[in-house]
Amino acid sequence: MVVDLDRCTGCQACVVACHAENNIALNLEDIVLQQRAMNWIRIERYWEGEYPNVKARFLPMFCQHCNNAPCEPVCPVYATYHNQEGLNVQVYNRCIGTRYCANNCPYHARFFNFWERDLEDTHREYLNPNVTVRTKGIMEKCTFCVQRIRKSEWERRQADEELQDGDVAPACVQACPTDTLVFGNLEDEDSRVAQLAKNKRHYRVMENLGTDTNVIYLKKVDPHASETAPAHAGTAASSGRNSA
Amino acid sequence: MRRRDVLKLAGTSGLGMGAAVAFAGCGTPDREFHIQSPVEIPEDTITGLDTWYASICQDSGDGCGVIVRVKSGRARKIEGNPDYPLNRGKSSARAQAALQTLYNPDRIPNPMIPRRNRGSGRYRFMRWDDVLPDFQERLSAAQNGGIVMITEPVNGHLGMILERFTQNIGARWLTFEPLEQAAVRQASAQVFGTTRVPQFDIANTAYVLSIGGNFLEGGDSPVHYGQAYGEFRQGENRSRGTFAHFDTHLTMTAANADEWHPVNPGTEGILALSIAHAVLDGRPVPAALQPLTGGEGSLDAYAAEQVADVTGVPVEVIERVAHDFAAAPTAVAMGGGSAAGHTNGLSNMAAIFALNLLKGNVGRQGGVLLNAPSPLPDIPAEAPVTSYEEWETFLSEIESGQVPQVLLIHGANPVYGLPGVLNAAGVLDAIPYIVSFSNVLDETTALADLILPDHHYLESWGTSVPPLGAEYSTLGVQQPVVRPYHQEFEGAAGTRAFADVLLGLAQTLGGPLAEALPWDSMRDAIRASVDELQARGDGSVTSDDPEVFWLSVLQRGGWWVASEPVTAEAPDLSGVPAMEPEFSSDAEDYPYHLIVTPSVLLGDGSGSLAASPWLQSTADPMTTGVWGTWVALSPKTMEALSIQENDIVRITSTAGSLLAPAYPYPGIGEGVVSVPLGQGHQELGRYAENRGENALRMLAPVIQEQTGALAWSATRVRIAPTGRRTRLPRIEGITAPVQMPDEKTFQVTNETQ
Ligand code: SF4
Ligand code: SF4
Repeated sequence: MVVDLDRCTGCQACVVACHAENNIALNLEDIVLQQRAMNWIRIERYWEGEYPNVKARFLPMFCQHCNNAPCEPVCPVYATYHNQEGLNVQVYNRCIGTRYCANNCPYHARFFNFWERDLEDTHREYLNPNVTVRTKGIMEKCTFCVQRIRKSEWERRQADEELQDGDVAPACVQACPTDTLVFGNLEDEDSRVAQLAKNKRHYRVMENLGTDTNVIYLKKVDPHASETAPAHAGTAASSGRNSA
Repeated sequence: MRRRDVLKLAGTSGLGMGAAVAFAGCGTPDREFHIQSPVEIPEDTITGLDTWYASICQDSGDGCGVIVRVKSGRARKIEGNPDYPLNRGKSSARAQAALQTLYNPDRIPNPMIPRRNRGSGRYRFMRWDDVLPDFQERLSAAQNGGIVMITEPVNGHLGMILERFTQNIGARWLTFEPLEQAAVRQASAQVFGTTRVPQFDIANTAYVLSIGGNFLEGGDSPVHYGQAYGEFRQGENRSRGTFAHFDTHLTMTAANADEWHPVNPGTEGILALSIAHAVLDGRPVPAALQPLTGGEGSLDAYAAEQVADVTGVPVEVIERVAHDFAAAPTAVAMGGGSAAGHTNGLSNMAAIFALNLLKGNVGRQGGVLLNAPSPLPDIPAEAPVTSYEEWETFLSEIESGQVPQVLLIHGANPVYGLPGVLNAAGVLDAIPYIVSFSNVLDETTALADLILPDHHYLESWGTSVPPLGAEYSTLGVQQPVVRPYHQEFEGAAGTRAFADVLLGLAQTLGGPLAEALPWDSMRDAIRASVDELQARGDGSVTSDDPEVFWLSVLQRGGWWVASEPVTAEAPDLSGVPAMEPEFSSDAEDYPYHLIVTPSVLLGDGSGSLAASPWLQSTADPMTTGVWGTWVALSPKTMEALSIQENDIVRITSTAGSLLAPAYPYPGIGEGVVSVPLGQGHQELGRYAENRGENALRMLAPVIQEQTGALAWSATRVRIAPTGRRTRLPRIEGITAPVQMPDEKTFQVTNETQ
């Protein structure tokens, strides 16, 4: 996946699309207050600078599908592992809920089901039948909409064909109005993601950790970057309470 | 269906995601698929197969084209329609969340009448046949003068039906738009010769100057502009566009600009004239812009040095932005947002839009493109909007005893959206018979004597002429993608489409009304129009066979034809002199400007979006706040008033007050307070009611003289701590909001290429 930060407007279409596609539990008010809200993709907002030279930056964050995934080795039951396509996958029916993986994920991309799902009957109607409704005690996270990948693979197989670039769009990618998110096979030289990943704005989030992620970000272009405050001078909107 | 057929179908249906043909089957279907609901599911229904239906989204406010995944008779997922000209496969948070307004547990399933008296909050379910005769009788008795119809502003077939219905039954038709855009429309009419605000071609422009225009979160179509914005930034075959934004505070759109500068509320027009002065750089003011000089013949009074104090924008910023705007090969000037909501909203907007004339923008690629007309002359592209002034008159007439006999309400919620000082609930209560067609119990519907619940838009027919679209003349067709969730069948009354109820009434009442509305159902009305389109023989779908044409139009989600560029009429800026803004009260007693800000998720709160837990729980882009209302204050103001984050503050205007937790907002000046809209419902079901505050209620009744609209940015307030605290639920806090000092999570480069 490639994320072009110069396009993202923070509109949140991807976030709701992900909830709709992946049967994610509703984040009711008390759940948010307990900081147990689940968002497989979220838009992080960074304040920079001081009024009036203040900026707000939007960064879509989700599981980075690390090649060197800190979440994997700590799982005692191999519920999270790396598959051959480079996806970091979670086997729900292996997961025993130790939450070690969530502790070890530097991107805060993993979410634990603290409760049994309590859905209104009418809200069951729109559930995606291709995606499990997770039960209490299970860890979950972004799958790159693996059900869509499998479906496209299957469809191509029916016609004796290989998967083509552009066949698969995870829900967030399909919804995103600005084309911030681009999905494809990084190993296929000709794919759009591989081309974009060569852009000289490319970087990985927290690359210094050595996680070797499969998500490439393209830097935001800001012609006035040097005029705003130095790199670390974020304006904590919430007086330091947030560095949880 | 035999097993072999199933496999064959499976092979062809649901071609790849995002492919141009995402609908079942290839080519034109030879028969119409029937949508099944498990309520009476036939034995041979094949579960496990997706069907995609194209339709139009009515929740996102701009009528974008959608395709809906239907499986086992239920809508499962909504995507943008890749073919539809307005949004080309893209969608928004609101369009995505329509599944939750469809499957809202608090929808009204049957016709209802209040038990005992109106407003008791307790209802009795009724059958349609039991309530319709009485309703018809009352309507027929009140014809020609005794009926008032209140709706949201609608275009397309419903707009046409409403117009003919109200005209022929002799009813007064009022439409309600909470944050009136009259100034934007009238400025557009004066500058571009059309009240349909044109399409600013940002995808192809080099420079965007926006003064208050929040096109990424509000305005005509955030999805359309979102897509164009992506192009503007990093589109292939073009260099990166530059974007300068001025606004009272750092909105989401402002946050995406290359440079944002605060401007004093109400002085946006003066700023625009100052930019015009600098762009002209000594050259004479063109004739078209002469009226803006107020008879002076020149704009010297708006030289940057003269207005820097009033507008709060430094001289060098005005000059630099003007220089960049003038030097860019193509540049557009956009406006809107709170700038249009001041007493001088029209002069603000006219001055901003007029900057486009300096660039010779009209009709030019990368400039301002006028919208293609509706493809059918009798299907309106625009909806009439009742001004605040007319609302005031209407309500005061009732108070003085001119009480209509019957009030019909659909899709509008004036009791929630009108300023509290008008006491709409109390006044409307004098009307002896109120009928609501809402399918959720909102504040206005709570007054009704009879509720005849409408289908959800995913269950009913309709059309839409998109608000933006210069390239194509478009009629989007909204078809039912699932059978009504609350279906009419033995033993249950169910919901009925509003338009169909009106058409049925027209037939029963007879006379000219029946002649004007000769169709049995909305579907028939649309079908008749589609037959007209077939006769043209051009456009996105053609066929000699009307049936094939009809099915193909439904399959594509509508019909459109490439449009000749629309030529603009000469601008006429007379009567819009620059004016100073006026406010509800003086700065001494009420020191802060209240800017009400529509939420990118919940809008202005007028629909039933707040009943969606997805929209409620998705982070506000700037504050990450969810499930409530907050007051965004400058950290400096908070310090001065000894207010901490999450302290409950009371903000008071001359017209009302509200209580909400304070949020320290780094992107707002000391004199301004911003409150998001969308919450504060007393009704609307479990997810919305009694949560947050409705800032529309406390707006002071200040009128824009030039348009008769409410000046919704003109309210001044005072702020006081209450000593109480709460916790605003926010998505932030799960992770650090601040950049790490060692390696930035969010990285920026200043190399534009
Ligand atoms: S982002 Fe987190 S959850 Fe995803 S692979 Fe990396 S460590 Fe694991
Ligand atoms: S949908 Fe796209 S533009 Fe909107 S927040 Fe998500 S990534 Fe950003």
